[in-house]
Amino acid sequence: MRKVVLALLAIPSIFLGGCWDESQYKDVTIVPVMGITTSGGQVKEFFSYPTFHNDTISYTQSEGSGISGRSAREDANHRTMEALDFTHLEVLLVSSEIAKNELHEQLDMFFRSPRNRITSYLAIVEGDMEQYFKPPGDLNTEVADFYPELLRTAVLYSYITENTMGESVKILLDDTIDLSLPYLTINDNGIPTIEGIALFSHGKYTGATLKKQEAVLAGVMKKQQGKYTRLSFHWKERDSPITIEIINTRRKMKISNDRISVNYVINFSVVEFPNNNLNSKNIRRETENFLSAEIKKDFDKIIKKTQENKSDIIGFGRTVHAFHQKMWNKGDWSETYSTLPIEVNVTMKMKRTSIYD
Amino acid sequence: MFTLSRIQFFLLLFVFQTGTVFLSFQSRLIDVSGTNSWVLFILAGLLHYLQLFLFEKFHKRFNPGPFVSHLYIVYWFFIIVSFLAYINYTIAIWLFPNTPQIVTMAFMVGVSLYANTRKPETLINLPVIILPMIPFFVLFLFMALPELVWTYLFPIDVTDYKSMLKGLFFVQATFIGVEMFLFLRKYVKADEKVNGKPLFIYQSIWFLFFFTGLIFVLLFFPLNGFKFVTEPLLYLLKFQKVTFVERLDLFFLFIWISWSIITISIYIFMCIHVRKTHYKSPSNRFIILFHVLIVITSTFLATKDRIEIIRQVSIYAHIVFSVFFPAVVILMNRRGKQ
Repeated sequence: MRKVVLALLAIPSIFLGGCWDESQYKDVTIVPVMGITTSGGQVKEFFSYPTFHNDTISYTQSEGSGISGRSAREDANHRTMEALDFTHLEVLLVSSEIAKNELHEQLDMFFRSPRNRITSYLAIVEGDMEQYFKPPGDLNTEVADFYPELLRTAVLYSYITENTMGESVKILLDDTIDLSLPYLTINDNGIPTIEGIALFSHGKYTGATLKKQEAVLAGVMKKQQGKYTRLSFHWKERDSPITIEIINTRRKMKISNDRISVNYVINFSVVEFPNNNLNSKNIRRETENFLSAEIKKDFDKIIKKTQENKSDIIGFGRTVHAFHQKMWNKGDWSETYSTLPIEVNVTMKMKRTSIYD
Repeated sequence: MFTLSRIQFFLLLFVFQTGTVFLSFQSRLIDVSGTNSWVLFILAGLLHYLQLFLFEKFHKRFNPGPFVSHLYIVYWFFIIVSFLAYINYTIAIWLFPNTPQIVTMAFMVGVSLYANTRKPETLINLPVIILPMIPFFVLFLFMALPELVWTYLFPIDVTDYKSMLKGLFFVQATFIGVEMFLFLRKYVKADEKVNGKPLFIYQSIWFLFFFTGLIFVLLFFPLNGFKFVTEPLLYLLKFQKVTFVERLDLFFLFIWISWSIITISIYIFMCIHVRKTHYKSPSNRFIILFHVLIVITSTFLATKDRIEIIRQVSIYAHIVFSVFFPAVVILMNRRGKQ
């Protein structure tokens, strides 16, 4: 009898394990988009989230401020019906001011709690953060839906490399590579737009950016392409635009005598070329030569810009650190990188001309 | 008394060795040895094989008396409570922050209590449960493959002997439980061969298991990252974005909890069984009290500071009980025979 009583007491208590940690959706509000900025020496946060009332969905925004990111969140909770929950955060927008100073510190709260999602997209925004939550232009959708889709598409089409919160922090902690993040501005029509990527050095935003096509090419240089990587050029001699899709990229790096030489072999297909005549072998070779020269020119520009800003976003430092300690130990890698002669060679190889020659 | 087949013997040994430290050994090792740690682990693998080889060669001479056996029971009690404290701390921060630790502790020890009041065969066959879990764990790990950075393995500087020695000390954590070889070897059926190929296969599996875990985290995180991440394997899984589940780390955590429950159960079994070889069978009341003592002690130890201390001490204790005592017992037995 005693055993039965003991068992009756013990068994339910085992199943209670976890009840203390139960969290119900009715008690929280899932926040998919969040923005962090600073205002008057305090951290200010903006939140955009859906709410459900009488079986209908509506979108709301709120904000909070405090001495830290977490305290700003607690402050916002004072004005929301349910507690804000970040376990399904999809996009975190960070103001350029914060990125220039303390990005890593602001991300601490996301990494300390196991329930937080660290695979959310991270982007830098220029200007007033409030505008990104209440854009002057018509988005045709809600902010909470707009940013996740915008960034997902940008990754898919290689406009940006996939820098999630987790990936970004890994790079921030890595001395051998610098971070680059999607850079958003509000365009003339009042719509938030991906302008390119923001360059970081020593974990801080330098204030410099790479423009749209440069950002795509930087992804090619890093060998981090999305599903589709398309580049357009104007071929003056033939008075024709040409758009190519990159199939894959091979990179070979040679480091010797205090200089770096990188050879890229890029396989591509042609997706637009009104000038036609790609059935001619000569034209195909001519096109390859034209693109090799154009892309080399662009790669050189990117290297020059990153060197000027001491921002090794391509990650040359990784190979130098691993195999060329003499060069690595010269001093701060960002400084070494900024003055290093880097020679780039590009060989474009046309593999497909699509279904129309 | 019971007998073990060769597979049961190696499976038990594998759980004894992997159940305790697999989740956490990488961080401390990489923290002191950096990129050298994977080279160091190859060296450690050779040492481990040598130790197993010597254990196999001299196991018949390892016949500890009641005093030494009780020292081992105290040592295993320490390993159980320190491991249980660590698991509970990890569960509290990763899984159940609001659940009282005594409840999770009681749940884990409760399984052991049930198994240890049954026939020895129940315990001996318990490790079989983890076998189907290993492929899942390996599959989850391989999801991180596209994000691995191979240059993180370099540079290697084996001339930095200070960091190499420190690393060699910390890598000993992966050897914890190896002394069970000596205690369990005599139960292996006489007609089953352990030496030679079977021992080499066990050594290779042990090595691959730990080495894969080490290499994956080393390739995944930059060196500075290990200062912030104490459970790199869990964090590696947390970084994965998959469509079928929100938190992949929880999958692994549940696998690891099952693994831990089995490890604790067989450690407790060894405490009870070794005592039984010198005295009469302990009563169920004694076994219950032993379990209650484990729950209370490990609840007391489950804080960050205390775990740090016991993790440090456990490596020293391991060296004493897996190298010093076996050597003394074997040598004394040899002299006694002469």
